[in-house]
Amino acid sequence: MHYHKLWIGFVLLLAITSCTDPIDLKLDQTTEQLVVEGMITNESTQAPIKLLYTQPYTKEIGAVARKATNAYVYVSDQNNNQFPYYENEPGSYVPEYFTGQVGNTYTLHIITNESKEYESIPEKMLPTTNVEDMSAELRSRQVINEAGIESTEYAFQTFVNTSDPADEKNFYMWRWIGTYEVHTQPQDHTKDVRGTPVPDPLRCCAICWVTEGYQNIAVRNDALINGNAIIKQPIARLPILPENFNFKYHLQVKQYSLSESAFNFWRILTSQVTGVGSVQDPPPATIPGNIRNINDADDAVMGYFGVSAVSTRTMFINRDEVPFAISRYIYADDCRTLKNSTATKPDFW
Amino acid sequence: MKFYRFILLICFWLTCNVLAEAQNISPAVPEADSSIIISIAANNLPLTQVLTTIQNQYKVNFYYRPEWLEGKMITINVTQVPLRQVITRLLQAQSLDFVIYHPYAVVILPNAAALATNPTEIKEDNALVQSDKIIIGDRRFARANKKLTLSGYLKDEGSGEPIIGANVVEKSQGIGTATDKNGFYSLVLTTGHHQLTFSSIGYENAEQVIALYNNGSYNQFLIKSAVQLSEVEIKSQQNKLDNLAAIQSGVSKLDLSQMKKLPAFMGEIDVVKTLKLMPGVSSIGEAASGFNVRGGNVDQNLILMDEAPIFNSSHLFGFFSVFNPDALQDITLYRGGIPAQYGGRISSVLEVKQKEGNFEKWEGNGGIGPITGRLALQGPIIKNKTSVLVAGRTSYSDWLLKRMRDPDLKQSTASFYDLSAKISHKISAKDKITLSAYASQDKFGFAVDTIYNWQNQAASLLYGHTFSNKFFLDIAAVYSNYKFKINIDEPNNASIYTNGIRQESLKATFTYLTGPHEVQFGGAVSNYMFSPGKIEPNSGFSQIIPITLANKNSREGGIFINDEFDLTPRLSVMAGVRFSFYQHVGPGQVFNYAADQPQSEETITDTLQFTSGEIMKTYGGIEPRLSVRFRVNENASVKAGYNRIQQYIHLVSNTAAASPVDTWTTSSASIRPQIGDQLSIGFFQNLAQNAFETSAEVYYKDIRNILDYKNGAIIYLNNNLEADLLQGHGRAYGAEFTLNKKSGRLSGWANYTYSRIQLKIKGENATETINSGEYYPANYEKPHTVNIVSNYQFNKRVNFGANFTYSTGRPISAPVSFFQYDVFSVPNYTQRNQYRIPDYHRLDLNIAVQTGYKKNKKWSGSWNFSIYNVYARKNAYSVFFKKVYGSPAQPYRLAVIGTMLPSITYDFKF
Repeated sequence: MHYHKLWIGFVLLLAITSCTDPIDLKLDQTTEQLVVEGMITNESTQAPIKLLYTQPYTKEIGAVARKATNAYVYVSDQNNNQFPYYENEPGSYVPEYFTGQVGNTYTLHIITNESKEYESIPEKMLPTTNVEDMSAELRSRQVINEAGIESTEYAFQTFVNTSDPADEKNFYMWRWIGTYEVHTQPQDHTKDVRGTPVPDPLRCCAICWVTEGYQNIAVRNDALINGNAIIKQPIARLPILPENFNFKYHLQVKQYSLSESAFNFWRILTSQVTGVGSVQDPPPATIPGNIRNINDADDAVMGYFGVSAVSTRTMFINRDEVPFAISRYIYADDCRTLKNSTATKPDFW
Repeated sequence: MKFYRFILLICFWLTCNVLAEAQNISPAVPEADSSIIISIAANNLPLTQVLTTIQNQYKVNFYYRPEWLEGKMITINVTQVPLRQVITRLLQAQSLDFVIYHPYAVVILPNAAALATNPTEIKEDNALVQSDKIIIGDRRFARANKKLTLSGYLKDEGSGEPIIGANVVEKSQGIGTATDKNGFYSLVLTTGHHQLTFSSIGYENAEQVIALYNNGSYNQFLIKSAVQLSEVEIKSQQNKLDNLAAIQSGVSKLDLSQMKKLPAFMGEIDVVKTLKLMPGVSSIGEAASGFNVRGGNVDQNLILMDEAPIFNSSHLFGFFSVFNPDALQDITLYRGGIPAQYGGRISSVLEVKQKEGNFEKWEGNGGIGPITGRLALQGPIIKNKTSVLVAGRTSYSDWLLKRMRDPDLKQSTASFYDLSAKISHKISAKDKITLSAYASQDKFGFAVDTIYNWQNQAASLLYGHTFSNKFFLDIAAVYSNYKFKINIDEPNNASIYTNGIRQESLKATFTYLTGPHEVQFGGAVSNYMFSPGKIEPNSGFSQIIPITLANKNSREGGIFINDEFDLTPRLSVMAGVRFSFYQHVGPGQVFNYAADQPQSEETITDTLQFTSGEIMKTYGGIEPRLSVRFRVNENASVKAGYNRIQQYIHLVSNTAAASPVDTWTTSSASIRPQIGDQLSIGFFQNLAQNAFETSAEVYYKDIRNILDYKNGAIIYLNNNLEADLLQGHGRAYGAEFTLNKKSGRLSGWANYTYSRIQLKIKGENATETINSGEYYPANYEKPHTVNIVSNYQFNKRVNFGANFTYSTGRPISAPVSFFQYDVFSVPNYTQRNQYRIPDYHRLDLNIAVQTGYKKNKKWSGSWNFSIYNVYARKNAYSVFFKKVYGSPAQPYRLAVIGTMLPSITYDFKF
């Protein structure tokens, strides 16, 4: 982690002399490999297990990965109870009903339609502590735009506090989802008629709820704090903008228990997708998964079958916590055209 | 240009007052003896009479003792014959010899054969016999072809300081040696006349003919070549000696005055940047710590500053090196033929010597560049007894950053300094003591709350004692400490992280000269203390709990003997052996891992505790060293070398380039020492009367237990570091071709290096195997490198310089495919280091101008205007993958210097 920060500063220092531009590396193409994305939890609804294949590295835009359809997928536990999964859409498999039990050990089994048999290493569901507290702090920083004008940018930095059991190694993952209400102006909608905007009021919809935040994953082990509370684990940095803080902001944080190998998988994956490939970054490497072809050791499988216990906590950040006026959000269109937006009010709102 | 000529024995006979028969005829105008043409006829006359007749008729005087000529009768009849021939004929069969001491003075003395048992004539080169010479010993008592020792000191004409590493070479036989730490040299020569050449970088050459008839001594003063005048013509002699006469191959000595004429990067004259223009030396890029020698990793270079090891040679991530050029005396890089007195690093030895203060007078020098300012002062505390040198360099980059408009830059900090001091004291003619100290510090911070800080501290106490002019002792007591620190001020994580390494050593080297041998022997002991990492909260709000990885202790010892000798005048050998041993000592823990599983924290089966001082693991071994030089002819040599070195301490780094965050670690029960065996052979040829020197060398290096890392290895505060390390086999091989032209208005060098370094790591299981157990290139491998360095002397004051460098791009790992995972688009890397970044090439230009140079001027200055990267090539420093909307992350390159960089530096001397 320190390499990374060091590097950012270093690159910044070189701002005057350095530059970046695209190059062509002429990468070789290799054969497809199976990718397994799957996690089972102790929650009542399970995320689907997705089976797809790797894609060649091209500049082509919008290429879609081939999905592994018609596979036979099931999860077994240490008592050899089998929980079959069904394909609900191509390459996506869900169980009829399944809730993981803390302390049980689960194994994923896959037989593809090409009759290749895959199996995960057995993973034990480890307990996780409750998220004890959440908080948000207002932060400001000076930024300078391309025109050279300095301005202040405000944001909420959010944190969770959680307890860490002593005498054992614990590995955590946190993910968050933010939801906010937006009001738009569909009645002011215009359409373009031969280059001239002509009023074209829309009936729907002026009020929507937008969700964001899937991109962020934080993983941590307790090596530095074993037995101490984890206090102020940074979760999300939410910039204060007219669209997201005109009403209130809902933040949901899920804390997952991880095994050490799952932690390493996520740690290396996140460092690889966020790393800048600099000489101060650890060299990129294969991300070690836990699934293998039981008949062919050379058939490497990407991805990790994770087994986690989950604890969830939510909070609202109200507009009155922002100590300054936020201008009205102007968007003269149906609010549902916004990304990840719905006109249906969420249950928790 | 010879200010001083030290003549020890002007004439033995004159000083000893033995010459009786001084004729009262005043000597005539000097003329070459060959121009004296004599006609004389005599029939059975006494020799004295004949000589007197000649003396009366021609402009020549004879000197002799009457008893030598007693009873000698002569019959001769010659007309119009040169004097030399006449005397030869006169003295034939008379058991007499002569020396034409001056064109008008001939000394007659008994034939050596008449006195000595060995009847062989001493063969003499007439040109030498007739030259201006110094005579050592008495020819009459000398035996032909006897081995005699000539020794003495080389000193600086101005300061009286010894000149270290200067070449002393006998021209005709090509026998040469170099002066030691005390400026002392010793040569074994045969009886007779010898033309000696004394040369050292930065000094004007001196030549002296010596007539050697007994063991003796001769001291020579050399004059600093202050400004680049036209005496380069003489230098071609020296080059010949360097290239052909030196026994070892792969030894480069950097010329500081030459360095100052090269284009400077951001105005800084830099040792490591100049080294990288030498064959076989490279680095990852502009901003990478350290350097790589013949396929060796950065940690395989032993960097010694006045005998003290320097653990991090870089300022500002390797943009600059830690050596302040104002404080340096000389710099030698051994990349092959490493003598037995050095050990502990397998690829190279970089020996940096700091200047000694002037013993005669106070003086100073310094410089101002765009990044740093430098100042050095030196002079006597007690004249000719004690001297001091203090030199400092500091950056003002911090001051510049504060003036940036960008708020992030404004809050950043980047600064460094270094400071050197050296005190030398001559206790007596035979004892000298030197205390040398060095400190450097770097501070780098981004947006105030995290400050990175690293520092080197080194000190050495050197003592030299002369038992006799054939036997010396040098003792060095050294201390070196490297510390790295991260200071985090953000209240919740407020903490200080530190790591480092400390070494204390004691080394004794004896030098013994006997006959044709120069023997060095001695021993060294070192203590190491490794601090692998420690973190401590430094605020009441901090959530960080303190963690201290236990310090590790070890000791290293070595005993060595090295002999340099000539088997025949053409064949010289340097043979040595070193025995080294290493002990990892307690207190500490040794983890035992399950035998059949990958090593990791989970597979620890047992922990062994060791108490303080208890030996945890011992390693050791014999390290043979051999260099052989065969002089094929006047202009060509063949050299071969073999050396084995064991390396017990390792720099652990999981980044492509060495970074200050990296930690040094010890060999232990789980980490084996690296063992390097290097074999090299080279051909050296001088062309066009030594105007050009060329060489071609090939080498193969085998490295056992070379280090690499598991995928996703963690180095930061990892108590089971060894579980993340892998050791395997490395092989490095290559060829180096050089062409040098050191004389003439246009000077410079060109070299081409082919260099490969490949690793093979095949463990018991998949996580301990890299690239399926096949050989793969190390991430610093640059197979093809071309360097061209040229300098054109426009006039006495103005120099133009141009450098061009080209190298193959270094290897990187690149994704072969990608996949969607969760919300991420994940690149899939399969094999390590299978792709390369684009090739690197760059042209630099400069003009160096001396201002107002006069020999005795109080103040002299020089300007260096440089342009780095003239055609503004965006050389890739690294390649990274950046997201592009709608398609997988695409490769981009980062060019650290993506533009042309001009700079101006002013250097001064007073």
